[in-house]
Amino acid sequence: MIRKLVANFLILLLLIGSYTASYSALLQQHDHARETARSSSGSWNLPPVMLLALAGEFKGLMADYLTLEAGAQLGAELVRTPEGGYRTIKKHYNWPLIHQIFVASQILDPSFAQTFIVAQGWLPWDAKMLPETQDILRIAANNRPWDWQPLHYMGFNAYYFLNQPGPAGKLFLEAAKTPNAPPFLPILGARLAQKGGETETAIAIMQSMLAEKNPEEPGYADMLDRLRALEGVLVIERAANNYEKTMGRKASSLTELTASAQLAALPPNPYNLDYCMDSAGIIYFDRPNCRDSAPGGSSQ
Amino acid sequence: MRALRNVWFLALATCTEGIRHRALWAIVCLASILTMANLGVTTLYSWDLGKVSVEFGLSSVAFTGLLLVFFLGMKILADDLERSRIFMLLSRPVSIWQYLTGKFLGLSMILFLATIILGLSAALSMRYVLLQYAAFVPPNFSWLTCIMALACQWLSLVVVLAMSVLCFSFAKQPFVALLLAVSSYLVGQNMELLRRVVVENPQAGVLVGQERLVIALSWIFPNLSLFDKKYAAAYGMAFSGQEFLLLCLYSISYSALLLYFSTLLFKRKELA
Amino acid sequence: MTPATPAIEISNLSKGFGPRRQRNQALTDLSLVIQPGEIFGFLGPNGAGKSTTIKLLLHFLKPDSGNLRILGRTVGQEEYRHQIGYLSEFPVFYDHLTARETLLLSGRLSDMPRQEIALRIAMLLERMHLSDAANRRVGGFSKGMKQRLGMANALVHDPEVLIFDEPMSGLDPVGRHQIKGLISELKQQGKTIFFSTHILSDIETLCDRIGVIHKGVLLYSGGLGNFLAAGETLEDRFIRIIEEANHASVA
Repeated sequence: MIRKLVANFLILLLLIGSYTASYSALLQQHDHARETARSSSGSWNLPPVMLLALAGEFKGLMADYLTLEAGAQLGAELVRTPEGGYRTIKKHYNWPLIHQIFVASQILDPSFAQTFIVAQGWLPWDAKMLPETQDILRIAANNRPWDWQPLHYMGFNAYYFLNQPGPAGKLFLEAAKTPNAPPFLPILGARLAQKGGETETAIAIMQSMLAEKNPEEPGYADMLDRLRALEGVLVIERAANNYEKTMGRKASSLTELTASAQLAALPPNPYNLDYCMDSAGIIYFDRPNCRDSAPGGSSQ
Repeated sequence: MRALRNVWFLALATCTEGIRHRALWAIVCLASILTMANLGVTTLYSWDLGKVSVEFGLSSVAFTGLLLVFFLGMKILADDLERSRIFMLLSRPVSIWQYLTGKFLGLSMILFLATIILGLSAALSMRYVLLQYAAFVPPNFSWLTCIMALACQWLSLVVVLAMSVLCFSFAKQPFVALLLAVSSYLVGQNMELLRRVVVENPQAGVLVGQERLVIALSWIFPNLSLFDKKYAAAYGMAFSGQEFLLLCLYSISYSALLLYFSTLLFKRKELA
Repeated sequence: MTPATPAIEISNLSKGFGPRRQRNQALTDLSLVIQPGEIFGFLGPNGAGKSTTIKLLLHFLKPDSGNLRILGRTVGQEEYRHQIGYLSEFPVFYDHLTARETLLLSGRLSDMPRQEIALRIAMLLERMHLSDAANRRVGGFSKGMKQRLGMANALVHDPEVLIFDEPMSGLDPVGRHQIKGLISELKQQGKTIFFSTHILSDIETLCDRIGVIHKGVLLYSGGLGNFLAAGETLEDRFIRIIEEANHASVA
């Protein structure tokens, strides 16, 4: 009886030992293989139609999984040390792969916030994939009509990376139209749009937004002031353009403009500041000393 | 009147048999645990937690429902034939259509019960997540939409069950019936996608010029994607009561049609 | 005086299985008439076609040719199943229903009134010695219990014609004795019983008339007395007729 027990115990030990040894060796080999080769194949490589077909009625779930996969690709890498511990190493990111995962996730669920937010957090920066990011954000914006964030990010990218204040302002103004958009968006958008030579567009969008707002709502008065200021700027810009057409050169100052027949008087500024025209001909309603910062310029 | 009573008695017996089946409770328990896993899964995400929670919960119900249809439902049907249990019923004044309809209704009732249990389980975990992460609840989230999405999920399973009954009616082997039912489900899930690809894409590979064929197929196979309202529930997008009623009508009429054809095919089957 | 409508009438029945090239002819031109109140024993070796005949009577199979009528009603065209009770060779039930629920289902499907079902179930469970197991799930029943439940199931709606497929199959001597006693009682009630068997002693005890079938061909149909030669046992006579049929087919 005892011999039988001992024999069974030894057999069990042998089985556990061989299992432990083989699995441990397999894991070590797998870790080593992962260090040298990155997994670049997955469902994200499938054509969109096949991806949709494969997901069936679980598109959302699969999109969720893919964002986790993207997160794993972007996460820190732990490498096993010979001593048996782990250390974190700077990871080499496979940006085209990561972008493909975001695209695949968006094909399955174009409304998922995590996709565009994480994409915005990584792709325009080290990856320098700005056009791709804007595409992702535009799809998100089209599919999240209740969310101002995608357009806001697009506007930020246009301003920060592309140095295009005009288009950035338009995007901010577009974002401002979404329900529950923060009050700073239209004001910021108007400023940028005007800076980028999009004054008329900014005025039109501000007017449409004010038409949908109640005067009692917070931010209404601020938006109205901004609109008045933009309208003032537009009057001056048109006068400056007419002056240039007539005289064959830009006006050197607002005084010269008002002295000519093009502008009878400067329009009122709701911020109680003087309008200013810098050496490039850009009109400011909130920088009366805009010429001071320019070399050799004088204040208006 | 007597015919409907026979259908009801058979449905009741099938439902009782199914409810007492251990496999049903194993699947339901596992699925309930799965819906509770919702709580852990949501914490893996930083945004749109509400959507992740709702979609995970509803997907659990969908997946479990499919398991019940393909494994429990088809097993109950197949056992009737393979173990000659059907003789006990057909030696009574019960017609083939009463037998099939009664079986179908009984299995639908089992699916309904499972959907309710799983839906409640999913709702509990969703409620917890939505309370914990209120900032991430979609602006127009609605429990009514979730309930309607759950109901649509059940209707979809009923259609899949009807397809399974049809496959069971003409296939010689239960395994073949199972394969056919699963294939029909996959086709049904992607029928709308296929139709859009062919109609909108002039370079749709081998399907170029086959628009009519694909449209004809889209009328033959069920359009299961119409019942998929997880996206709407997850993002708080309302879908109209009219659409819901039409889905109910579509599900009932299509299932009735399949049962009709099942009866015709089953009558030609040699039962022994 | 008009002749009584036969309880069971089989005319020129043929049935084969499989593709045309390799057709397995289970029944060839079978004709039988069973009068009301008779106990008819359908005798034959394994694979003779007994169960096939029964399944054709119950319309589980469709004949290649021929006609079947039960109490004057054509099988497959008119409803007759409320007047027959069937016991299969291996009764199979829904494992998770109790014995009572099983009989209740059968009674309801046979369009019995509620009160009558309840009384009948109680009586049958008592008669079949299943009262103690009435509320137990059938999945836990022994073979003998299932056979007795099958018998109760066949009798729940008090049918005129009873069709049993090897009713004594797999039963112990006590069980067989009980079934035989029940069949005798049913005969006294005027029921028509058609049962298939290959147990010869049961034939001798119970049957008014017999039919002998081998390889789908009816070799004899008639009274037991006419079947046996003087001093010959049923077993000897049965073996002899089978051997003669085998020799005839070889020739």
